[in-house]
Amino acid sequence: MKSFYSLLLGVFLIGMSASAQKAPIKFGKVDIDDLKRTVYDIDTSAEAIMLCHYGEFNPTQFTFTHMYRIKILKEEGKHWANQKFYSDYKGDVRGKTFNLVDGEIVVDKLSNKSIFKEEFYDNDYMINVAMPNVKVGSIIDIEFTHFSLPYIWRFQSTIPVLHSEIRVPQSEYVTFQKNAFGYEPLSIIDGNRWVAKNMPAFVEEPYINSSENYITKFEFDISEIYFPGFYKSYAKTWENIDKYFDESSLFGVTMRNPNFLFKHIADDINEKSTSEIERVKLAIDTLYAAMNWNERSRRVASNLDLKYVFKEGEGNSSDINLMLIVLLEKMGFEVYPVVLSTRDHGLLSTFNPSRNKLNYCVAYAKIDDAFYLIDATDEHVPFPLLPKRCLNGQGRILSKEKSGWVNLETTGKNKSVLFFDLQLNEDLVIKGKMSYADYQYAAVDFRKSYISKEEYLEAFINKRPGLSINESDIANINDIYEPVKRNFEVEITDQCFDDGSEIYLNVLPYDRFKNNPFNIKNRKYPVDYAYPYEETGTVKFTIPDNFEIVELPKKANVVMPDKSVSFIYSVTAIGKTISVNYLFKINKSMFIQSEYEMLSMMYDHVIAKQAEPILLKRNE
Amino acid sequence: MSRPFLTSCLLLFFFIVTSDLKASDKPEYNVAHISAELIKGANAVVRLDEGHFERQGISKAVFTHTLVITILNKKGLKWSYFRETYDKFSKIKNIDFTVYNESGKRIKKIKGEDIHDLSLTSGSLFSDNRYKFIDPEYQEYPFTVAYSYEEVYDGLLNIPTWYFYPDFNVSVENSIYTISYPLHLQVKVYEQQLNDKPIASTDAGIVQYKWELQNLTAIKSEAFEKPIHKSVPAIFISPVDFEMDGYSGNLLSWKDFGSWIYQLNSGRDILPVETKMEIKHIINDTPDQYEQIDRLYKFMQEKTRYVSVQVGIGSWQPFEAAYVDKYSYGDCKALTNYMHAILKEAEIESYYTIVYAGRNNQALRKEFPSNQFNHAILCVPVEHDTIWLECTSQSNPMGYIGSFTDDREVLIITEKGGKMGHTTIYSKDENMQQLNAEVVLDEQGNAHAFYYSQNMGIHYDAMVPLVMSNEEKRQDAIYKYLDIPSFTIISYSLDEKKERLPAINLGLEVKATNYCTKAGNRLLLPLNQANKFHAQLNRNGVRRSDILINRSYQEVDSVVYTLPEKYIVKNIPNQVEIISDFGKYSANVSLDGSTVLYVRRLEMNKGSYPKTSYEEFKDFVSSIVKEDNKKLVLVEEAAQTN
Repeated sequence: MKSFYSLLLGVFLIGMSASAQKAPIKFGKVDIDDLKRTVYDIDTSAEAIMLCHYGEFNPTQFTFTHMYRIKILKEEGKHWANQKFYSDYKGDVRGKTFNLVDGEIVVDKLSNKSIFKEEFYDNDYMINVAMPNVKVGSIIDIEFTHFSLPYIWRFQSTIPVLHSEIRVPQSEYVTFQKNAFGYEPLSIIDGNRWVAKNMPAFVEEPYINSSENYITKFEFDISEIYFPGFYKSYAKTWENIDKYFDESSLFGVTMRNPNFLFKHIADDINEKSTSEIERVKLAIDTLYAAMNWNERSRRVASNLDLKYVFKEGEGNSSDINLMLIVLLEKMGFEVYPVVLSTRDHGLLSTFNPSRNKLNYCVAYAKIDDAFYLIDATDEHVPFPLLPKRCLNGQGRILSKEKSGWVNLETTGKNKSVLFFDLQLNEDLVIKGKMSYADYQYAAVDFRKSYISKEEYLEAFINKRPGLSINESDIANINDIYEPVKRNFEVEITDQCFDDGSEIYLNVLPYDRFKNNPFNIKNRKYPVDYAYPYEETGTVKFTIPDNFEIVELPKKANVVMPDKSVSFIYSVTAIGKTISVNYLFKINKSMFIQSEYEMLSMMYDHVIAKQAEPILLKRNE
Repeated sequence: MSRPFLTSCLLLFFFIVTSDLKASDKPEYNVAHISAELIKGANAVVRLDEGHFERQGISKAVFTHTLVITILNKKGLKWSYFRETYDKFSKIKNIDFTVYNESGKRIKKIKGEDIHDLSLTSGSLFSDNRYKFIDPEYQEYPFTVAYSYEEVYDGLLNIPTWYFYPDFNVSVENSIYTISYPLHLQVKVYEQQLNDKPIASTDAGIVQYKWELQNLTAIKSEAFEKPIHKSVPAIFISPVDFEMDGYSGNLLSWKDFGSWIYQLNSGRDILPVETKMEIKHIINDTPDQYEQIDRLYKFMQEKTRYVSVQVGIGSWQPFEAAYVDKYSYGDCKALTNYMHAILKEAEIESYYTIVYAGRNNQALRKEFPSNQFNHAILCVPVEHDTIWLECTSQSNPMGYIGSFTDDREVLIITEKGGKMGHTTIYSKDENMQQLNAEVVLDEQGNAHAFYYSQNMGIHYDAMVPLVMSNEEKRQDAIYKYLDIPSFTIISYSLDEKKERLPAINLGLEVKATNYCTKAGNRLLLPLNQANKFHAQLNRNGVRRSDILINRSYQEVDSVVYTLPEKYIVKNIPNQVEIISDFGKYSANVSLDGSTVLYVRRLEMNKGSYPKTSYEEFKDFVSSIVKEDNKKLVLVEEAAQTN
């Protein structure tokens, strides 16, 4: 573990050289060569380039100064001359625009008229600036100073960054931790000075976790501030953080408060069943029914008294899951809180103790000799699944004896099964049954988007132009421990095509992969599905007596070398009955870049195979 | 909902404790009172929507509004939020917000710090437009929120429009709007889709009108219809005489409204001497007016950028031209006024023009002069022609306005007041897309394909973001644009013709695996893979709205397929031609040795068609979809002879 102290030592040893280093840019001093340049090799299509982003912490003033130098390369890049900063009201900004006119540098200062400060949300302020006289070719310098350290320093931007540098000199007033993220290497790490050079523009890709997990950046966590007459201490080690939660009146203390209401509920539940699993499910159901999650992810409860929140019937994630922990404890279970960072909050680094990075809490309980992670905020999610937002690296177990880390993995899958039993008629109209069943995360997704049968059916047929429904049934919408099932009696008119002598019958009417999500050649970041995927299909066709099978699609069995993805496909016939069976499985949720090409090819195989029709002909 | 027995016991326990109705509860909001026909297809039900607009003076008025709405499911959730905007000319007061559960029991009242006050600046650099916002953070469906507030006006150009339907999939039990004004402070009323006359009364010099509608069943959105705010019952109200920040005007006629704008703009077109000299210098070597306008428009585009700043009367009045000249930025009004000042210096006539901009080119309520605009452009009349200049664009070619302001009625501001005009209508030949492709197939069904598409008019608009993006985003966009299952881009080229009718040409070389589907030893070749017609029409139910095709356009595709060696075509589809009022479609396949030529042409005719012709329209669309999905069967020569 890299503690604050080793960092401090580093500063002492190399700090001198860092402070002797000149700042990479000086406000208002631009290089005429940069003004003359019209294109930069790093990205010839860029609308603008960040020539330099430099940040420096001033420990005596306790302020931080950002300096931005941006070169405008295209008309559509001119919007970089409008900048927004968020800060307390004390934020100070100045700026200059540089243009080359007849070989001379012409400077326009940012006027006070073009600086707009406003309170945008309660006590937060937004400072907008519009730089003057910005044309293609202009360079702009903006300097912005605010109180304290920034929470985040991003070395990358949506445009390329040639030089990004941050310096945080050691100070007796403040100590901090920094967590590093991202995929681009830094060029210089020199005690209290960090430099990244030639950073490409950050572009999002499909199937990634929150983009904040991929962009190259630092996050700062202040450990201690001590001004004369003012002292505040923050976490330095995970043990400190454990202690913080334990002592927090909105966490450890509220959990230990006497709570007769929960004791009553616990006793009631314990009377209902002797099965541990059943009793846990009843406890979760109780909270699903009694509590409305207000969609806020919070690391602590909203009130000192959980009974009060319970009676209000509404609370944040920690309100509800602390209630679950208390309830399970009163029921006699061994249970601990686990604190974590949700997917949109970014990945938790176990090497860098950070309280800011924790924004959620779940229960960790021993049931029939095994430990389970449990969440009670989302009534669509059946035990033992965790909501997708929680599946993000590791969580911290808070316990005096068992303190440590737990993988926030799921045993659940995005699993679906389809079964069709169809008759082809001589007029090439298909009639029969189509059944679908969604399990686990597939069922969670289905239930979350489901509004009404009427709406579902309308969308179902609108997506399937040649299909009409005679009868339909949707089951288990509300019973989360059962799969969501849909059964349809259908008639299909557009899945056969007759070329005059032969008939082509689509094997999977409508329900097949049509486009490869990974057509793009290069992949920078891992593919993250969050959970494994499994799709099983069986389609039975009965063909008319006077039809004859000309050819069936050949069977396929394609597996990735590590068996993480597999596709098994077969079409067989007995008499006039044709059976199609397939299984498409993605066994793991994360694929690294080197596996990407293979993963993309798997989709190609699936798409090509599922598209192959059955070849029939009429007997004269 | 089926819940385990225990949970229902617990809930029951709470009910016993709390089921005594309190005075603060509203049993009349019980969801069980809503009729089945109002539940059908609804995500939310308006129980009561009641507004009263009371004009008290030339620029003073009070609008009081009460809304009680039951949220039935998550798609209706947004209706549980309170969101009302205000600016320098209005204030929001006395907000009262309460949440009730299914049976009408009061759950909570929201006040104080839970009423947020936020800036609306997001899209612009600065504006004094703000809004009050409440999210009750409640999601136990069904539930009801009830709120009321007052909006106090000081400055009255816009009076709230009353829509009897707030949105699609929302039904309405009762909606009431009343307006009142002193006799000497007339307001004008425009009724949309209303059959009954309002109840009118006059008492002590105060005129009052009242409209009330009940039991409006939820309506569903439909493809190819006009925007909902143009089709539902609504009351538009506008003052006759008004005053904003000391600038008084009237809305008796378009001429009068134009005079008010003219008065706001007058004297704001003075340029500094250096810029005047630069203008002279730019045009001194050409007498050609088009050329002069072109050069000066480019000068303006290069010099400035669009930045929106809206403060007080500045929401109507442009910055002075000298300000734009000094700082090189401005909003649509400022940049249009600046361009006007530039042309004036070049002795070219031009007029500031206001317009309702957006993808939708719906007509104005022409017989109802009022503020129906949200954007400014410049009208430049030249001999036998009118050039429209979009001054907020740094990239438009001179005279091209695109789908943002094409084909609509506008108010041209002249010295003598306002005058109606109509912007450029792009014809079917101008909204043209031409695709030429060569696809070379191998025995595996893979393809090596070359595409070259020329995109003009609205097709040009669609391609502009591609030109604007950087390399990576561009590739990403092309991968999404081309509807082929598995492929890799080998190379591409983009070239833009910046003319008055501009074009973007995209050249693409791709390798596609499994372009053809295998069926035994046959290959199924999809004839139209790259440019399929997409439309999702409702198949069941009765069509509610007329069919609207916003713009005429056409597509001409010509694809040459080179067959794999030894393969021949087994079936040649007949030539197809579909003709209807809505447009025309044709497709033809012809064979020439080992190549197949596929030619497809689609024309759509702009217009509004009666809903009675919906079946015909559906047939037209589904025939096109069917034809676009046709496949050619390729077989090995040897196999054929078997």
